[in-house]
Amino acid sequence: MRAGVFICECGGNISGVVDVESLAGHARTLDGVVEVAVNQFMCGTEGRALIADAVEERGLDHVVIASCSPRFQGPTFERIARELKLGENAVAFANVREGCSFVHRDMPDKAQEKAKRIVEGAVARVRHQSDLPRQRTFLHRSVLVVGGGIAGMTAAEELSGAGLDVHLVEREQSLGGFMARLAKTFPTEDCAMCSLAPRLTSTAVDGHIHIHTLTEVDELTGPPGEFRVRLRHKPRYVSEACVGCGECIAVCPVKLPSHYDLGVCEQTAISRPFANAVPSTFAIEKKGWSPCKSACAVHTSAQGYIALVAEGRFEEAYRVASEPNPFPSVCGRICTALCESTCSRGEVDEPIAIAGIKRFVADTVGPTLPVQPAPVIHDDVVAVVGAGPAGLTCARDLAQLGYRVTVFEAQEVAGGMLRTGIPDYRLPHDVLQREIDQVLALGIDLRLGQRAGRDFTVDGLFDQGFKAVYLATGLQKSAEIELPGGDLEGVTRAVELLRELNLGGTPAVGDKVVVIGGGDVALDAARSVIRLQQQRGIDPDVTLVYRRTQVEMPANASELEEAREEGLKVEFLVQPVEILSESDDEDAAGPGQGPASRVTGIRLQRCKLGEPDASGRRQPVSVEGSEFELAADTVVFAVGQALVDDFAQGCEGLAIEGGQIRIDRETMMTTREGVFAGGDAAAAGFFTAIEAIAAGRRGAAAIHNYLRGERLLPVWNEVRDTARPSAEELDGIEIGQRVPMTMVDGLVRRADWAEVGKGYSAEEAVAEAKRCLNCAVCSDCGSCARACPSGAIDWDQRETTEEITVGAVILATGHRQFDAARKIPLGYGRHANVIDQGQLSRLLSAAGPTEGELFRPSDGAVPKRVFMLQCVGSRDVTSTGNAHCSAICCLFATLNASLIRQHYPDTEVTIGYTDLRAPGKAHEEYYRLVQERGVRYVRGRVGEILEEKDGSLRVHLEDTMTGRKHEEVFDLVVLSAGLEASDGTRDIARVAGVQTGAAGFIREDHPKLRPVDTQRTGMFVCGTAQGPKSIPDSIAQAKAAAARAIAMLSSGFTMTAAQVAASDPAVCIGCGVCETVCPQKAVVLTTGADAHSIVDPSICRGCGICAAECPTGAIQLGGFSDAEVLAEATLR
Amino acid sequence: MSKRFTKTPDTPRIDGGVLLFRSCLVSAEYPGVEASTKWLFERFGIEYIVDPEQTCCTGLGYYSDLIPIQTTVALAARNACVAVDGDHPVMSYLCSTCYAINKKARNILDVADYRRQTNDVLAKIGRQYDDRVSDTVEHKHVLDVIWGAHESVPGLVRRRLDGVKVATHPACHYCKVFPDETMGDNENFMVPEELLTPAGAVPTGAYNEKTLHCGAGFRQRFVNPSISLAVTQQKLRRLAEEQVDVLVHMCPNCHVQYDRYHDIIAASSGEEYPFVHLHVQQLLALALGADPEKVVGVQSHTQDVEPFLERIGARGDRRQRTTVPMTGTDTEDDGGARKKGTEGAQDKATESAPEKAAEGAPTASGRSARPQAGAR
Repeated sequence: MRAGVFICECGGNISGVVDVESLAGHARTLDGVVEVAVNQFMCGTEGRALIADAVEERGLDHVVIASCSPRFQGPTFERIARELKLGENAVAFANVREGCSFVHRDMPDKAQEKAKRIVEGAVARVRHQSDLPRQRTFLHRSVLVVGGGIAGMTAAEELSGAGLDVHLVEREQSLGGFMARLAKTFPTEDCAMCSLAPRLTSTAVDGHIHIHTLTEVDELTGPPGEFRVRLRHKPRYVSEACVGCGECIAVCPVKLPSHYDLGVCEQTAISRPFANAVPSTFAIEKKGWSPCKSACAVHTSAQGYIALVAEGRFEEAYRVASEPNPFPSVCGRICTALCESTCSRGEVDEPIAIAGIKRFVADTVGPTLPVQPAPVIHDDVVAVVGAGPAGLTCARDLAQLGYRVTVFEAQEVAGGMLRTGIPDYRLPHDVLQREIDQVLALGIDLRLGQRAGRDFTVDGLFDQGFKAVYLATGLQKSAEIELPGGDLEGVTRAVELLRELNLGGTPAVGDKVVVIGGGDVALDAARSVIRLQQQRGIDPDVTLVYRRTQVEMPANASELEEAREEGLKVEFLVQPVEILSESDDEDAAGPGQGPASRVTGIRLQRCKLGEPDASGRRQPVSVEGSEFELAADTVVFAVGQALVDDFAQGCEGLAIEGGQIRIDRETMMTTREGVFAGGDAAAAGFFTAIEAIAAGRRGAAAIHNYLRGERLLPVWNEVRDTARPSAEELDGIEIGQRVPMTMVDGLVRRADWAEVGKGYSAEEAVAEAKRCLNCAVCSDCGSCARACPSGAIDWDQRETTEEITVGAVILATGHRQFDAARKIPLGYGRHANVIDQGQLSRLLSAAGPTEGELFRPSDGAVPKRVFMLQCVGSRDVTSTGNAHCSAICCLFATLNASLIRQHYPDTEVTIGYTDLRAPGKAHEEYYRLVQERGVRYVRGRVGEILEEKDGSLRVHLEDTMTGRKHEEVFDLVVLSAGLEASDGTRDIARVAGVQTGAAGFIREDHPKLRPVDTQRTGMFVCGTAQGPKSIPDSIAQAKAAAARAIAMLSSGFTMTAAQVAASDPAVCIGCGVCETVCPQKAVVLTTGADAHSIVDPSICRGCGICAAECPTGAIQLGGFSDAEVLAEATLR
Repeated sequence: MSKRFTKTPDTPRIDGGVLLFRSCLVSAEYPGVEASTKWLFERFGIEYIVDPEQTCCTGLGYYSDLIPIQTTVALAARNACVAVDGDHPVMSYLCSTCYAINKKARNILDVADYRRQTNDVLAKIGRQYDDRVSDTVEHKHVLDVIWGAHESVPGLVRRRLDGVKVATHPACHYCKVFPDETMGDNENFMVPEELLTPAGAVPTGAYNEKTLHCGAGFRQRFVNPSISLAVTQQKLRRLAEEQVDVLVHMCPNCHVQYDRYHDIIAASSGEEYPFVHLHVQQLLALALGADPEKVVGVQSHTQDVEPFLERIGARGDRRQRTTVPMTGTDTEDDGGARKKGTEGAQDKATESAPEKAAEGAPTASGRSARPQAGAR
């Protein structure tokens, strides 16, 4: 080996600590060294000449450079070696700067010794270095630009100008970024939109730029030059047919704080942020389905009609409520209202009274709307057996689909269980009848008193020409009572008692009544008995007996409460053992002998709850020796219902299983072709009114499908994500309470059959509706679709993904404003008149919500005294952890203060600053100008901002010039919230695998030399994604990033790095550590039994982390082989 | 991000090794605070001791310029040795003065020269504050320890506080002296309210001048009473604006200042502040079913807390009382337990306190005319 050692003084950086001449002397003594030279700057022209001469004259084959870190000037010397035909790996580096002189300034003697060792090591290693293979990669001539703010748009335009294809991705619905929100820009005070709008337009029409809004980058893989990108496009729900007329905004009932206007005003769920938005298409903000809609069996958009009620639009609300459900008035009274149980508002205080609102709307609007007969489209006639909720709903849907329908009902009244099973005080018969009449008004033929199996047969219906039959006969019988004494006189069944009552009879009940059961039917029976007793003029005496506790009780808790108010006594954890009669007392006649004798009481037994069974309910276990007796002359059983299966006769091939009709759950068809079933009668588990209605709808769709051979996919068959406000959002909601519904007093109401709840007035319904939290944002009310003249509303849009390949990536994802609410004592978010500079910009913008009129939020008055506080969330390590200066706030506040002074000369503006920093071009001059405009600057810190009763703000200020503390009262306080990395910046940093630094900003590869490169080759950064900066700086950086991408892609190919890692599959055990530690994402693990790692040399930058972490030594880093490293360490 | 509340992050549960550091002010003024704390530790299953070797922290003396810092530091070093040598190194303070002065001493003792000087003195009593002690000892406010067990609270609630609006008075020497060591947000300390919300209490979160101090200022209460009470009144006004029912305390200095002077300030200004003062551990113990006298020690309060106790059902029919007894204490409720405290809690300024405490039944008619807390 003939090696030369070239020692750099680095202009004193090295020679100031290390004696370079002495070091050179030492180097000369080393084995294999034939030439040693020292220069002030070895990386300069002189240094290069020194090396070249020595190589030529002394015949060097290896070179050692004793200078700075190879990360700094490595490429320079590698290039020199390449030019001198030595080969890049003929160079070794002895880092005597960062590794020695920089860190040991205070101990020069030791530094000298260390420098010697470093040089010795480099000389020892260089002889082992060999040339490494390199690969060439071809580059895609297209660039992904992430972020559509001023930086992203500028970069895209530059790239397009160079003839490259650009994919410009923006997660919001329009390009424009933060600049689009500004009123004016400093220091020139020119309108922000005036300079932005032309760029928006030119970007929109540029043929090379593909704009993807409402889009996020999900995945970013592959080598530089061939990045594979997966884009996720979120649905707009508005097609390109949108002409931007804005009719939809006028009718949308959902109002939320405006994203674009930073919350200073409201926007609607369908919106376009500003007039010049690109693209100009509107978009609907829709998070999925609201919990109430998901919970409803027919997926009624409760959020939709509630939003309309809140605006007083009752008729439209009625249409939304009645479209999926022909019985809104009924359901507003007796529905189990799962929508309320799942309501997000319930997590804050009480759920919205959805049923109460629905009842109000249906009762108010329902009777006023005439129903027209539905046009008959199809020749087929369909028979529906049973006029309960399932049968009538099925009939309605079929009629609306254009079929002729005949409904057969065994009773002399329609309504099924709604009519015969629910007492008047809970569901007045006239309310039910009105909704039935509206269904029938569609042209449906109803035949009362027609019992299947008695008056007609199903087979006979087909003979009469019916093409399909829907069986919805319900469960009309009470289950058998299998208890000693069950056949005694005075033992009755709840279903039968209620039917007799509801058909106009007066069931006989005694003076002391025991009701057994815990469901709605049991409560209905108990409360009816109370009224019957009261009518007879006796004091009601009714005891409800249930074998579990109130928690397990299926009946509604509020209903139990109402029953108690009416005087119901309740015994939990008790079950019946035997019903007692006179004969039991005398113990003479055995049971079942002679005519049934009268009930005298009931023997009961206490229970406790055991382990949960398969259904998850805890089963009652009887307690031995706990039996007791209760006197009673009537015992009412409300324990299950059973099918009356007369119709099965005369219906060939119909199968009954488990007491219900067997159906196919897909097609709703029974085992008999053409016969369908639903509701309680069918074996599909339906048992509440709303579930019966849902069954009717499914039945109608199934019959249509059967008759027309079409595949109808009703909307309620699909499942969408349920949207809920986040825990943070719920925390911010003021705790309130439900608007109470007026109730008739318990002791008064039990005297008659009048309805218990009086319902909401219009004012109450509106007030209650305003409590809605708009979980899904868009409420699915459909108002925009009805208003849109071009039919652009498209509910079928779904999230889609797209894969693209690009050569380079520019990250321009920007910043977000610091959330000033985190500085609790400053009152942001608590005090109405504390806002931030972004919000003030919206208020001062001529194109803003106030058209440039400044007002204070609490009362709309023009503020006379304005205070601006600087450094909120910047230069504030103690309470926010943000050490950085946000760079723009001093001038941002100065600009907004200047605008206020010019438009409102009577308004005083004070700026409380930490230090006034104005280093940009013409910034200091602008600051002086604004001082002359009368803006007062106070160097001071604020302790706390207090709100006075009139909304003005008392500011506790410490003047740091005088050290005095004083208080001042202002009308408006504006916080200069600092800049932090945006969510988009944090997300893309994770997806792209680029490093971030303080406050989440993307870290550049080198702060001076590579300011727009990230540590990943081919990925560049610009604008506030890299750190806080002004608009001119963002634009300059964007152009620099574009230039870097153009330079990289213009050659058409690139070489892999010289020193890259490689994995030996024979040694690799597939542990995957390398994959997790690689900052470049260059290592992937194969799958399967012989899983091993593979390093992509076109991505690898030779950092060596994987090689250091590899437990088996399977990964070796080129240029850092064991031989080389050992030689350097052991000097052998 | 909520605008009014900030969530306190979870901290690891401390199961034992706790030295409950007794406080002179707690012992002399509100012994129920210490009793409530012990009662809560037992509910949460936290193993603790009270060590008779422990001395006063002397913080009050130091802050009143009566005791030199060297003395205070030496005593802190000695108490740390006591804790470590007694195998209960988690020193838990009932009083934020004890908390902050011991932490300050910890920092001073990390300076080699001061540690050497201190150890020269400690050598006379055979103790040494060495790395073993400094690395083992932990300084915690009692709330730090209780917060570690906060997940147990919902399952232990026996008395609902539904609708009771509580506000925190953050102790200055907890929140301001070592802001980086405060749990959660030192400018919006929420732990007391977060402990009480599982029982149904309504939190207040941030309010105007939440961080304003109580006005006590150690000797200021005595040498500058007009300034001291003006500050107290300022805060009372703010809390009245917030319509709170209870102001919860975490430091006996503040507790004394508010409880003893509340009625005096109200009477002299003619203003009404319709709420009561309780220590966090007292209110939490009440919510978990503790006896108002035997555990919580309400008889040592100057302010009339009877209407509040009635409101939360702590004064119901005696047969239906849901009190949970203290382990090892006499649980027999003979009705005579509600005698006035003998711990010297009487304050000359408020002669009504003992008189109402001696009553078994609800308060005398003159008092019931006051607006009942929270009856809005």
